[in-house]
Amino acid sequence: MIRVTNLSKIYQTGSIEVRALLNISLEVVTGEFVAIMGPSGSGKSTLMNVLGCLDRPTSGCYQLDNLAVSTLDDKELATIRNRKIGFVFQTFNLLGRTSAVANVEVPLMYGGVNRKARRQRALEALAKVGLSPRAFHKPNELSGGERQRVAIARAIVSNPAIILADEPTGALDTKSGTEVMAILEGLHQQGLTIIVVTHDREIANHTQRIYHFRDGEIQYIEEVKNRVIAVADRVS
Amino acid sequence: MGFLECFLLAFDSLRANKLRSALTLLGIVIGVSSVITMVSIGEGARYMVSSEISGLGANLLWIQADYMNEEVKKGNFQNLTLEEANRMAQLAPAVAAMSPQLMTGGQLRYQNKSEDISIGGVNEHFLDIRAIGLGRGRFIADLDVDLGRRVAVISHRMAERLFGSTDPIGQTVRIRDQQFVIIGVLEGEKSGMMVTDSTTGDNYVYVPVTVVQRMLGHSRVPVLFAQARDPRVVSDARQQLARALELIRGPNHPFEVQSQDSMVEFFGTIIAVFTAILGGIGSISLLVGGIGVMNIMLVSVTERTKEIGIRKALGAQKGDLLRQFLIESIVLCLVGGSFGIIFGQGGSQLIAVFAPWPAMISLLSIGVAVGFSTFVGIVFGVYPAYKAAQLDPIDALRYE
Repeated sequence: MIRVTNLSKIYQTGSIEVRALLNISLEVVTGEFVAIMGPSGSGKSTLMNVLGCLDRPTSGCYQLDNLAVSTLDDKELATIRNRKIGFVFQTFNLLGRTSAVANVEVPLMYGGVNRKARRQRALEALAKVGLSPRAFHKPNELSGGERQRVAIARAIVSNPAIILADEPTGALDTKSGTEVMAILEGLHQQGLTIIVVTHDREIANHTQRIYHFRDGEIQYIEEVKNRVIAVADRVS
Repeated sequence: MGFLECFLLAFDSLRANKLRSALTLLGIVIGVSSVITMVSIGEGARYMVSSEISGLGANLLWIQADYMNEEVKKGNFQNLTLEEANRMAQLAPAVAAMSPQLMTGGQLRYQNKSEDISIGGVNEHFLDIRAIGLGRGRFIADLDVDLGRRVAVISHRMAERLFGSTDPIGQTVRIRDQQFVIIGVLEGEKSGMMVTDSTTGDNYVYVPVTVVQRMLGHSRVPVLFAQARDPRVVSDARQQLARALELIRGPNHPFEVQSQDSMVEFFGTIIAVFTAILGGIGSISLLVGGIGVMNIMLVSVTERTKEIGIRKALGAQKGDLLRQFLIESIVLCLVGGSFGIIFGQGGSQLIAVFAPWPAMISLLSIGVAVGFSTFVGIVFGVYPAYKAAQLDPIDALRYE
């Protein structure tokens, strides 16, 4: 469960004050699949960074599964990122020199899981995104869609509480995008909390609820009436 | 993240940039190998000097004018006489035997051959004191000295040059136009000692001291050799001889008594300084190599900013990144150090081919080189690693 209360993030660049987020309050219950939409500069990426524990709010409260995240230090934040949060980035952000399975193992390595268990869990996660046959390929030997699926496997391998996906289909063609959304849908059905940041209405239509952002504030909240359920036959 | 993990990561990323890693390594290789080579030169020189000195004789002491003394520099002194030398021997109970060495030059003729020679006037103890072996015949005996017999002992080489396959013993030669009978030939080869004199050079001819005394018309002895009864009493003998000198010549005499130990110590000090300077020169190249490592690690941190951001997003702690980059630079230095040891050994062997000493590679210098290169890795790796650990994850992720 995510509960954000009166959250603000203000940057000071020289003498100019940039209000990236202003008094945001929202609540995402465990198992929900929501989207954050808005034009660039609306503060959605900043919110993503704060929710992902990569950044701290200037003021306000962020509660993640009964943990008051705003009070934690760097070390504890790193641990939260490792255990509770799975990131999916627009540009995949895989480590180029290592194989898919080694990429998926990285969070487990920092989580102190031993080599054998790590390899096994990473292969299981790759199986979940339908990439078992490509486990030992390097990212440059994979297609964009496959790379994003590796990234999703990496995001789920440590059994996080939430998946934060920042424009997960932004760099993909429609077909690959649909595949990725199908995987996210599957994870949602397994009970994971998923937050997708996007500016693409069609992607947002896959979710249950859309938060529309503008100028650092929530403009309105929209419950999605006719949800699109993505299905891709290749994916288990 | 465990250390094994870090080492594997480090090897991976060094492999990813093979040429760059190899060039950085080269700096460390040169540094470590030059430290090892330089120290080996010093050690080899020390070994050579101390073995030369111990090869001079057994429990050897010698008395000669102190060439650092002002009066000696000006020539205002008189060498010891044979009588004074005999009195000294009586005053030093720890001394087993003494032999003077009077020196002059001359020409030796045999049939139509002639040689320029150095003539050493010694007594019957000389051979023992200087630990020189006799090849054939006999050495000068006490009676030869007492009676002033014109007998001579020559070197093995000279015997070959003059007599070829003929037995030299009993042959008559002319030295300074006087007839001498060859009574002995020294054993094979003995390396020339440059520390005191060229006593064992192959154009050296030994004759009874009394004969040289007659040639020169005086009995002033430039060098007096003595042998202590036992290795344990060498320093006693030294003190007794010094006291005897004071008794005979007064407290301000210009002579000094030296032993092999004092000689080894004296040269040891000089060589230690020399080794330190050489080692220092080697260390400078290691330092330069270390700066190269730091440079490349900084480049690597900048280049891998994105990777650092990803790792941070996935839960890497600052400590994990610090360790990753630190171990990378240590691995770089250790691999360089290992090659440096190999090349250092090669360098030392190569120098030993040209230098008159053997290659002396001490375990200590290897240990120091490895320790030093690890140290260099840490010192020059800390800053880049710290920089990596401190990067802001958001900025790092955004970096292109």
